[in-house]
Amino acid sequence: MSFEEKSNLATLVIVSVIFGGYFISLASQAVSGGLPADVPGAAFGPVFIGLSIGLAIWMTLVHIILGVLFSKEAEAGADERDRQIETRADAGAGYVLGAGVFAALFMLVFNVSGYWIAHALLAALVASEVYKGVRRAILYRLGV
Amino acid sequence: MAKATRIKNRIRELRFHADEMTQAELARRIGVTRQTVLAIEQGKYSPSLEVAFQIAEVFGAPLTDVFEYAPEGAP
Repeated sequence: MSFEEKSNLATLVIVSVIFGGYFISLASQAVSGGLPADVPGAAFGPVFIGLSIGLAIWMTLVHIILGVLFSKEAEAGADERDRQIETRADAGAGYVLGAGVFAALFMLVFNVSGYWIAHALLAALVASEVYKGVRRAILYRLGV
Repeated sequence: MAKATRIKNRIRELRFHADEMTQAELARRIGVTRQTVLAIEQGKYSPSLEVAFQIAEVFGAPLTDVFEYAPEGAP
């Protein structure tokens, strides 16, 4: 397994755990009535900053560990196969992100709170990253 | 989803005749990762023309001796 493939799997796990956990917690709060429908959009700010910092810390930490454990592979960097796999995965992820943005615009039309629109955009971003990670993992294993 | 490429190759055989050159050594000489050499050998990845020529050069063989196009339905 190349360093790029290991890095992709690590990123996929980190993104899935951090954002999956957050969205599950958010959904359970919303279902139990813990969050009103008209939460002000500004309430998303601390959430977004917290998630971004958490993501940055974990990504940095895990990639430093991977870099130390597999220093020789890490030095080799990405080659043409890695770049081709990334390009293919990116193409599909763009559609997922686009669908999410479209959904957010639709919510805007129906005067949904900015808090939930921001979450729809975040969910689209996360879904596109997860799609990209899964697609890359499959392409690495099955071939380009 | 991805399927095996129609480009067949003799890299494994050529490595054997080159004093059992390792995949890692070939990868180092052509500037790709060992995993990419493995994927090419297994027919899971078609290299760029540049890398294909580099591989042929390492073995001192013409490109057509290393790679062969096998159209669908061909034996």
